[in-house]
Amino acid sequence: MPQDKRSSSGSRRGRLEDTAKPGAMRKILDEMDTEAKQARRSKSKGGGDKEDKDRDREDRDRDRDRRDSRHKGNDRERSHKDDKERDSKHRDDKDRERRQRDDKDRDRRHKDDKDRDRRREDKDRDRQRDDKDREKRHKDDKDRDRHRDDKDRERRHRDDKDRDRHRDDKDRDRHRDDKDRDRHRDDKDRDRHRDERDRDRRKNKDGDRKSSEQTTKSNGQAETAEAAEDDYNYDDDEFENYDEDFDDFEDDDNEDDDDSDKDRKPPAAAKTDSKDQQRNVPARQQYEDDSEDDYDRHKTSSQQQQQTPRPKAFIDFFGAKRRQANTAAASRTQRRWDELSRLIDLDKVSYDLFQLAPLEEYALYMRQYGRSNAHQAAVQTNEDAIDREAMTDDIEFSTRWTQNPPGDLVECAGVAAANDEDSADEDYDSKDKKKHKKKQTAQLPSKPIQPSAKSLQRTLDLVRRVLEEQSRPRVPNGRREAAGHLSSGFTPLTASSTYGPASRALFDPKRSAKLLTMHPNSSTLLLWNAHEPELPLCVLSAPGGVACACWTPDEFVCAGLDDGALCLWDPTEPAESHGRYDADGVSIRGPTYSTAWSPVGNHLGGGVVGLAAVGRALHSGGAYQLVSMDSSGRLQAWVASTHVGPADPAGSASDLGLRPGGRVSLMRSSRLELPSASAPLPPLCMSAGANGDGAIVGGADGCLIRVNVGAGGSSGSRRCHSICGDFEHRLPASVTAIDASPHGNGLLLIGYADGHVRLMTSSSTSPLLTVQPKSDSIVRLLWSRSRPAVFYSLDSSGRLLVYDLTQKSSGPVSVFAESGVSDFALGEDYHSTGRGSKSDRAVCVLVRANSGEAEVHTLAETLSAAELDEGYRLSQLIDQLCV
Amino acid sequence: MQDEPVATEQPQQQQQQQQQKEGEEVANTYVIRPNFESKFRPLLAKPVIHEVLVERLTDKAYDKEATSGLCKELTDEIKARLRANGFERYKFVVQVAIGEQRGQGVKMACRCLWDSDSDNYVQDIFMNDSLFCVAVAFGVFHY
Repeated sequence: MPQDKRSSSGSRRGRLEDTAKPGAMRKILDEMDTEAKQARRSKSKGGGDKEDKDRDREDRDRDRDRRDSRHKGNDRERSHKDDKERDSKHRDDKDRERRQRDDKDRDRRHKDDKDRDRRREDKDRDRQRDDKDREKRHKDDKDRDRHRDDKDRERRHRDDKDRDRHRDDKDRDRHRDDKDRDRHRDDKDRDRHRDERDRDRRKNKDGDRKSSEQTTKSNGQAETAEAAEDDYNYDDDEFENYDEDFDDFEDDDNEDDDDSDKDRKPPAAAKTDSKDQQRNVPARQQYEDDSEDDYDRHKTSSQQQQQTPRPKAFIDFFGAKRRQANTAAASRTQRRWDELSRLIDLDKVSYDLFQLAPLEEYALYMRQYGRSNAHQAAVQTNEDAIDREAMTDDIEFSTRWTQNPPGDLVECAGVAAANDEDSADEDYDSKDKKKHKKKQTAQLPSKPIQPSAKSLQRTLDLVRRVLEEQSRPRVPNGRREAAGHLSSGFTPLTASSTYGPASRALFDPKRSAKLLTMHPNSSTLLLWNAHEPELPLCVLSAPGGVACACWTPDEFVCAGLDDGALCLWDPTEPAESHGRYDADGVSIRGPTYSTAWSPVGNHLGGGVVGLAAVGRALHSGGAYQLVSMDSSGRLQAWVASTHVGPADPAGSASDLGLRPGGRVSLMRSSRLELPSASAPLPPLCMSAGANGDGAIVGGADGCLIRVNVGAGGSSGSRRCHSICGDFEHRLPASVTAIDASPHGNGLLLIGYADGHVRLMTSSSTSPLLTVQPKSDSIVRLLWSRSRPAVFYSLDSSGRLLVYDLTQKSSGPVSVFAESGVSDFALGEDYHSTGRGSKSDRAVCVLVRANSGEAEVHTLAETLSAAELDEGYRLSQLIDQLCV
Repeated sequence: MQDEPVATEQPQQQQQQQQQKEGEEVANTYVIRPNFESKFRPLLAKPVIHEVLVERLTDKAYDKEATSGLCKELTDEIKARLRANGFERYKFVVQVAIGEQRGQGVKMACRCLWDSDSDNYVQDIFMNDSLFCVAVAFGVFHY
């Protein structure tokens, strides 16, 4: 082709000329247009004149539009740039303008296959470029044929564009139809958006174009696959047949209009998929065209450069077949969707597939830390503090016994019997202590001393005494000659000065050799053997001040304390069980039994002021009772009971008054109140009754009350009989001393604070004899244990008076006043009264008031030896007095 | 994700072509519901996935390098076993995600546009100290 051989410089020159003369250019184009129309009109077979005229008009309009737009673009460019640049870039601007339009197309089809779009754009661009080139060539050469050719190309290019445009319109139309039954709003929105954009784009273009769109509405759209392919194949490959192509094209256009109408009629679901599918059909066709157009373009460019003639293209049958199959498949899929979409409903569902909560910091820490061989079993905080994780040692429990008083050093505590040896071993940390304990336990006598052992012990006592007499030096002031004729000699009892002066002395009624001295300063009682005045046998330590004491018939010692408690000592207890010794090695013993700790103890009445052992068979070793009288006048009777069986070294769990290892306890048998007549003044003294079955209580108001303890009866008043309570017999002085005759004649001696001494019988209420006071207040009155008619009186000034009723009833026969005596006691005389032991001589004890020393005197022969008819004479005297 | 074409498509195409040749009056027939026996049921499919996960992941620690390959193997295996179970006309999409357990929170969700009458999904989780694995199989019925 000759026009293709033009050099690029020539074409540029031509272009410059064109731009320089727009009027000439328009003229040429008009000529070309009319020529093309004429040629087409001459060659067109089908279609009437009317159609041809319409088409001519359309073409003309379109060409004019295009020129106008081009001029506008040129004018716009001209205003901004100088002439040179404008001239040189004129063609570029045009291309750019077209490209902008293409870009809009591309944007519109961006949702389709991008490759396809790009190819089509390339095709469009190429085609435009070709058109331009051919235009230039046509202008340069003025070749009619080429001119017509270019015109045709130009027109076809416009057709292509129109076809694209038409597709958009069609989409829009269909979209309008489908809007009502559109089920996918997203798609619809997107379509609407795109339509609006298209519409805007169209508005931007000249209004003339709208008319052309209306006329060429359905150009190039929805052709059947075969027709389209044939058309384009011919169109591209055989330029000579372009007129026929156009004819076919026109026909196809008409048919397409019908087809598109048909497509619109069925109520197909207007989903994007369907739209895309529909668009795919022409797109795919264009794709095939593009591939060939690319080929052409490459060739034209190479022709332009190399100025070689353009070779003829070949028919691609393989590609056509493939295209055919693809189109068939696409249409089939489309149809399949159209039909299926009516049958099924798609819905949108969402599921949670997996959810994993993030680990907390602590869990994460434990996850890492937990692998390092550490294990956390529990956490202890304040809120849920539980005791199972406490870190203190286990608390060990064991059961011990203990018992008060801890009066001596012997342990009063130990392991309970229920515990076994294992726990006992743990109780004592040191082995020494344990050994000591075992030793102590072993030393305690497990059994009471047998009778055979008793005789053995007595023998051993004798041996020991003999040995001591030989080894020990004689006491310096041993036996001395007595002053006066009271005693034939005396032996002082040398007590340690730590116990203080003695205030009273008491002889054991059974064994006169046994002597008790009371030391109130140290709250102790010293037990002596009268034959061994050097050292006391033992020290009886009381927990409180000792107010009074007495011997019981079974040789126990009972003491009444200031606080109202009674203490009982058992002197036969082994000294080892007490374990305390004083400086001289004398055993110090705590009370075997104390009512202070016993459950029966009730000491609200005050201190004990009188204590006596009473009993009907008192002197024959029968049952007896201890009667205590407190300062408030309350009398209590106690029974001393000896435990049968071995002593329990652990003590008693129930009776806390009993000392561990003790075997004697006191139990209160009765309690009685004195009659209210004696209530105003408290009683001062008490003594056992003459018959031994009661107690005589002397009141501060001078009355005497005999209390029958042994008899039954609940009322205290019935058992209390007032003796000489009458006013005419009563002395206006308090009773300070009472003594019953041990000789069984029922005589009573009553001493008064004003020095009167009365002789009474227990059966009468009137005194037999009243001795006028020869001295001060009577402190002690004692019947002689040897002579029934003799009695001794000790007054507060320390004088000791001896009365003999058979000799002189009005006054004492002798007075011992050489030294102050604070107390006086007489030992039993077995030969006269049947009490005491046979071997004991008649002895008495004088307690010196100034020194507090006790002296054991042997009574003088005149006082200890009774006359043969003394009893008889006394009874005669009593009879005389009674009458 | 794996897409599987269904073998039963081919005869239907031929039938359609024949119908096109014969005439437009005869409409196509479609199977729009699976057979009851071959319906994709999670109860049947879940043990399959679980089996695979337990077989392949027990005593495995997380390895950054090996995880992508392991995921592919797992998806292939799950897909193969699901297909061997005879869910006819079903396409399967199998997704396996393996992550390391470092105490973080994880949430996985999916959204499907499908026909709930015939399509379903099955999901199983495997976790050990170092990793977690979520396997999902979507069964989509092909009409």
